[in-house]
Amino acid sequence: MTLEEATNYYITLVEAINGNETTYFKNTDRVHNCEIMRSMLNESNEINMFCGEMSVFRKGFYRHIDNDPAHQNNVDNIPLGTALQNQLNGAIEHFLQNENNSLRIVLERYKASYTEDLIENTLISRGIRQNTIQIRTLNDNTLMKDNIDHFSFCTQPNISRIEQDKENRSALCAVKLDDENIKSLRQVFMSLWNIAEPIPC
Amino acid sequence: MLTSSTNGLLGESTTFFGVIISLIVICLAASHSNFIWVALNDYSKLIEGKFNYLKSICNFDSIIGSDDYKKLKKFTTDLSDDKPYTKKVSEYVKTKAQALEFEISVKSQVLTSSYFEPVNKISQKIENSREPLFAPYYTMIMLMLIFIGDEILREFGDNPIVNNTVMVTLTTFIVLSAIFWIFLWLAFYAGYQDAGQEHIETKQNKWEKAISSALGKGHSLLKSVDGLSETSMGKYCLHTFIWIIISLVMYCFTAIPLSKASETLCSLIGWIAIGVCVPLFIMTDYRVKHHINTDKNYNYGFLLKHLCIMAIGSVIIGCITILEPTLRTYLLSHITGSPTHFWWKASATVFIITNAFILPLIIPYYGRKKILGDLKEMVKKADEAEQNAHKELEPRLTELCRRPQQETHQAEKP
Repeated sequence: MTLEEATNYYITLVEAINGNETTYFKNTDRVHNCEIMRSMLNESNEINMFCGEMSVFRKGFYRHIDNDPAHQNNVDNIPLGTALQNQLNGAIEHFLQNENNSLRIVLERYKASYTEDLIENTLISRGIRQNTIQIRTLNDNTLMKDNIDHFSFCTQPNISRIEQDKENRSALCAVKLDDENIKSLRQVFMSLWNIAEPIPC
Repeated sequence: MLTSSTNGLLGESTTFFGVIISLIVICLAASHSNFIWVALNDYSKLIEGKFNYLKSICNFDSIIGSDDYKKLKKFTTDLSDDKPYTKKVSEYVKTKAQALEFEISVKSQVLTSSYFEPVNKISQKIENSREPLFAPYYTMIMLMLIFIGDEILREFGDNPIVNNTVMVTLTTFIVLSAIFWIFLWLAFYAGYQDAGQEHIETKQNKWEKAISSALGKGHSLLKSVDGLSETSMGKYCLHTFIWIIISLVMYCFTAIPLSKASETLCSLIGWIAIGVCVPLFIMTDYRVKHHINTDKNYNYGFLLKHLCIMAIGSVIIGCITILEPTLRTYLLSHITGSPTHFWWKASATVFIITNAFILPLIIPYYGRKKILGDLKEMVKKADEAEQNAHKELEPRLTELCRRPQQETHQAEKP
């Protein structure tokens, strides 16, 4: 995949956000995952996310894209992963400009190395300080957590991404999702949020 | 004055208490040699089996495992090498399939999430069930202290002051330990009561309401000075200070009509005892209601700390009786009623056996039985919910899976 193709995917997402009907997108790799997160950060005020290791916000995720032979460098010879990482940094900065915005993350498990590997540590630390970003984690012993697929959703516009395969990163994304489904996803998220514990900062 | 014989406190029962202490040692570790642990572990396995079954129901295994669902997954994929289906599937069917796949995923997750909290509460409760190990541990140390007291009495039993002090100290220690463990077992059982539920409604009569209201006010008072001290001991000292001032004011009013010095002294001791006990009771009640046994600080250190406080408190009370002959005579006539200390030994034995063997088996057993009942109810409800979802989703799934074939047939018609 090239940066141009990734940008086209992002444009399609934004068009669907501005449309009137629910549109579904099948995601097959990390690039799609990154572009959906970027669209959520740019378009929404409230994002909730249940994930394994917070990988979309970590450098290792973009290194993986850089090293994947299926992806190509762009015209300036910048690797695709690095270019996407820069775009996501911009989206995080945009999201943090409004202190009333909220990004809540529940991790399936937590290790100190996750926060050391964050793409923009100072930005995310600022978000945590101003309470715009809140991160919690489930215990290793939490039961039934593997029954719940990794997912993220945001409101206004209603966008949701449910991961179907944790290894291959394949996921189903719904844009302009109906309020009923968003309500259900919020219920699932809150049950995780309530049992999770804040990560040690 | 009643004195202990030079046979010590336990006399011929020393061997019996020795056997008890040996049996307690077996119950100290969570291993297969611990007969209490083995019995409870069997129940835990049954509970684990129910967890796994509930998990499979919430996962919609019956829907996800069906051939129609596998077809649906192929319709929604964009992979170009998936020729058997993608070429035949129209954009309309693909969108419908994606919507249905999304709906199945959300429904399964909503069902899982509705059991997520109670299941984890139950699991935590079982994991944090430390009382079956804590109680024998505490009782063993208590028995060792009784043996030490017994040895002191064998050596110095002829001295009435030593005899009386040791007897009062040991008795007070056992009484305090019994009160302490009543609270701990109540808190432990209360944890089982609400482990499988999110909201508990309790029905109270007017007396219970009045007591709850009074305790509630006590809890508010506790919270109001919480900021002044971080530790439980500091908070207790602060509250005791307040209550002792109240007790002294009460003593001043009640001591006026008393003429004898001994009556005045007894009244003072009584009011100070109230000043010490009331905050202790309020704090214990507060901690029991806030489930002390889910606290991270609830460990062997907690037990040892409380054991030491009670032992020191008992020694202080034992020493006070040396100073006050009226109180000593009164207490001793009720404690060591016979030269063989039959009632003392009987009471101590009942407490030791109950706390070390009976309650660590019975309370967790009934608690786990209740949890198993709650889990069966959850499985039943989840099963119903899954069947309803199955009834609703299966026809839509079947219809959607037939659609590409119908479309193909229509396209092939001349």
